[in-house]
Amino acid sequence: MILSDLTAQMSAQRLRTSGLHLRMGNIVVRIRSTLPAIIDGINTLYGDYPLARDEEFTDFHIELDRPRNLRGLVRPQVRFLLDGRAPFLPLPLPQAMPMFEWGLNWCITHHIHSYLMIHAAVVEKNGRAVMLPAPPGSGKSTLCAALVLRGWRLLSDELTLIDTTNGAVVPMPRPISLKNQSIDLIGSFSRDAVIGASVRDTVKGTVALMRPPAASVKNSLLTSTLRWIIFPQFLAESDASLTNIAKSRAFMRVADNAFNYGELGPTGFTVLADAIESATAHDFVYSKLEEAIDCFDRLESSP
Amino acid sequence: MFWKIVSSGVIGNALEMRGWDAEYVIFHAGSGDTHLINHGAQFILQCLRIGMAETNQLVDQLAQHSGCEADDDLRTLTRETLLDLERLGVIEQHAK
Repeated sequence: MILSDLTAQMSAQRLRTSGLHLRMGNIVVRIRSTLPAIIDGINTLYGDYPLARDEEFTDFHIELDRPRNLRGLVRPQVRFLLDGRAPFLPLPLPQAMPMFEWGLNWCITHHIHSYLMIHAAVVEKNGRAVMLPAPPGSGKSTLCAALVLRGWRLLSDELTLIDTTNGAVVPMPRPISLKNQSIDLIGSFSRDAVIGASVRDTVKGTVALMRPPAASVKNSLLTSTLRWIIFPQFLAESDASLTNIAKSRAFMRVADNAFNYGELGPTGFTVLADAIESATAHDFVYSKLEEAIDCFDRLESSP
Repeated sequence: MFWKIVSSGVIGNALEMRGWDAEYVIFHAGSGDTHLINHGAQFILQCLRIGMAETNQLVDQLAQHSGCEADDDLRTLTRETLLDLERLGVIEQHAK
């Protein structure tokens, strides 16, 4: 059973009371909230996600509510709770849905160390995955959104998870976070893009979340093999170009982008080295999304 | 004076190494640090993995490995590489 099998009223009722247990790849998250932005956002963005049974082990119990303070009268806020405790300061109430996404990212990167976790988007086609490590502002999420709207499977737009026991790339598809001009760009790029409400004045500017394709969510237990590591950089008016990077240099750049490389010690080193061994690494500069997708498709069709 | 790899203080390899195209990444278990090194530094570390060695011994081994003379240039290069590795905390000097 998936979330959209419930009526909007039923899902809202569960969110307000016992919580919704959603399966996201290999984890189960329980979400509770009475906030309209969360109820609307979850229904809009997570409709294809399987509902876990209430008695199943739940990795994270998350609640978003309004803190009871004087700010509630003037500039209301939203609070993120994990297992009943607030790991961060509250944010302005309109930022409730982005806060849920950022908070869940924090939960994953601080707790699930059975994976080497890299700050990178990852998409897949025909069993071969492309990892896109990049700092904020490089155009990673925009490129990721465009690729999945053109047939690539979304494994994640933010967290590449590599299983430390077997090196497999493990999916955890979630809504893709778009920022500022990218929101309209992706909205006009494809009619299939389902984008939630824009939220202004966040630390990242204006953000909006794009619903992941149903097929990506349906196949979220299907792991993949890393075949390419591509460091994207949006550069206005440039032609799409792919240049090779030495594997040793790619190793150091990916390690710099990893959340828990240090915590994993020699295991992290070995897992990353094995991943680098199996993949080729490239810098990628682009300015036009269709051109970028052509480049990726040509790469994927090569042996 | 001899050179040796800094102990990690734990059971297992003090150093993990992987290489591609004459460049190598190394993980030093003692510090938890990862470094990018060249082929010459990697060869020196491989020698020190076997046991402690003096600078001149390493120069001779490098010369043999690379098929060149153990001349002043090679000695200077070896000393500089050893000092770089010492600065990284990967090797240390030891009076045998």
